[in-house]
Amino acid sequence: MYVAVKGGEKAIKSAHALLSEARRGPLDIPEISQGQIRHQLGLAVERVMAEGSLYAPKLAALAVKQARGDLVEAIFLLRATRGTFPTWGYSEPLDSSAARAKRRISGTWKDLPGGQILGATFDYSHRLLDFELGDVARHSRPLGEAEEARGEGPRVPGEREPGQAREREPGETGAQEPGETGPSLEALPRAARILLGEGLLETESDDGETPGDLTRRTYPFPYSRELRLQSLARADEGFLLSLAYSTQRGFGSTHPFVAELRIGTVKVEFWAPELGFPVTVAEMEITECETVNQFRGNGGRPRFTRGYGLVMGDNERKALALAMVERALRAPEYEEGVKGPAQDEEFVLSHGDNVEAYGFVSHVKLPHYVDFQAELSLLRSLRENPGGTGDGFGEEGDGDGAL
Amino acid sequence: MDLELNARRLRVDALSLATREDLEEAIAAFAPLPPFSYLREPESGIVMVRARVGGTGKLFNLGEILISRCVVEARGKLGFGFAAEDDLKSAELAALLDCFGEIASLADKLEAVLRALKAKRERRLEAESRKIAKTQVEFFTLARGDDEPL
Repeated sequence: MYVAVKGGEKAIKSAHALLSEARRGPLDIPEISQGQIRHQLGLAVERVMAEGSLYAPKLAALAVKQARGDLVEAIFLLRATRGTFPTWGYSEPLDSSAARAKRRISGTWKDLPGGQILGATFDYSHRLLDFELGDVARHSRPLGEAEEARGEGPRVPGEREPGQAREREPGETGAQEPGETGPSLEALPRAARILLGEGLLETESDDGETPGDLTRRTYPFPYSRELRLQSLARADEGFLLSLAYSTQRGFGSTHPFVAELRIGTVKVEFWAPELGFPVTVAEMEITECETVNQFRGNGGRPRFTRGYGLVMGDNERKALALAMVERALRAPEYEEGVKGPAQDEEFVLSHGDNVEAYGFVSHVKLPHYVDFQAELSLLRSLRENPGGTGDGFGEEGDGDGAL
Repeated sequence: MDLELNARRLRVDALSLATREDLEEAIAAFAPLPPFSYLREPESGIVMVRARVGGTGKLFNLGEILISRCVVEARGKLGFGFAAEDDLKSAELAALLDCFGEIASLADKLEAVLRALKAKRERRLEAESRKIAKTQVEFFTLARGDDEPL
């Protein structure tokens, strides 16, 4: 017998009202703005854009606000919003070499052309909480205590100094120091080129083929490298990080060196049919990581292999993990054998999307009253007839979560 | 590409990258605006961004970007405008300014406005890159002993 039940409308309505209240928090605390989230919680916004697979900083900031800081929920919101816009086609290929870099480092060449540019990095910071960033001083400072005895590194101009007029930092005059020319941050040469010259590294070349697009149709495994890169670019950062780590711990080692890691801004060009040429329609930030890995002979002379990671936004941890996993997934290409989960394409690519994973994992919390009643009565009857065959035990009625 | 088309391309590029504030300031210089109509009303949509494997290899689809666009017509000339994100106003202003570049009587003024827009952007980028440049690493080689050759 199928019994339809209905109800809960009032409870749901009240729950949503309560959610709005919880989101807003105490009314004596000022409401956070989209701009504040965009600029002061910028890396949260960048992650939402990368995994939401839609570069739209203001909408992503709104998603973070609406989701109360739950980034996977925000990613879900951004993916859903994406569906409300028309799709206009494909951009011209990004020229990541022409990116205006805000950070660029190499783990393989100390003196690479263009130099090592640290940018705004957490690296080399002490990972100690800076209580000065907090709203209220933890305790009053003894009179006369030296100012420089606190925090790590210099204060950013404009950052709040509780109870004290701000002093000028050295070099904060706005004027360029004499003799300071600085490196060019545009069109930094690709580090990998150093090896290409000697033929020590695989070359990448364009065969002119139109790449598959996972947002348009589904593809059977095995994927091409291009499809893998699209899938990984929107995959969950934590998932990729753990997989990359697993390769380092021996589950399919790839021996990566970071030839180059760069974060920068590139122009997005789109073909304007009315004009007959491509025009710049916007800029976007990208993070790119190139790894140089264990060399292979492959019949010819041995050369290094490559891993590549490209992510929308400022997402260094993900780009690095992505490049490592990308290389691990090339195991069959180099006949390395699939020894670890990170090398198993179906495992990695089927489970990396956190919106899909979130959806399927959380559906089990939806009502399964009938499913469960069936299991319960089966268990009771088994206990009443210990000599029974146990037929049907372990069968699952669930397939769609609707029962 | 011939010179005229290239100039148009540079103009559309520059207008796409200008901030809303800068575009509003720029359009103010043309008040009162000539009558215009939309060939394509301001709208937002999504473009799939392509990149290359390893930066130089095969194409792949990286992810999508939200942009806005608009096409206007004034005095028989067309103007094309684009803007980042869901920003219909900027796309409209960019289209109008592009259109003014095609209208002979307004072209000179538009040139001056564009120069100012570009100068503003360059100043902004220069200030940014000056700070970033200070984070460039300078390595020092340390000698391990005075008497030993390195």
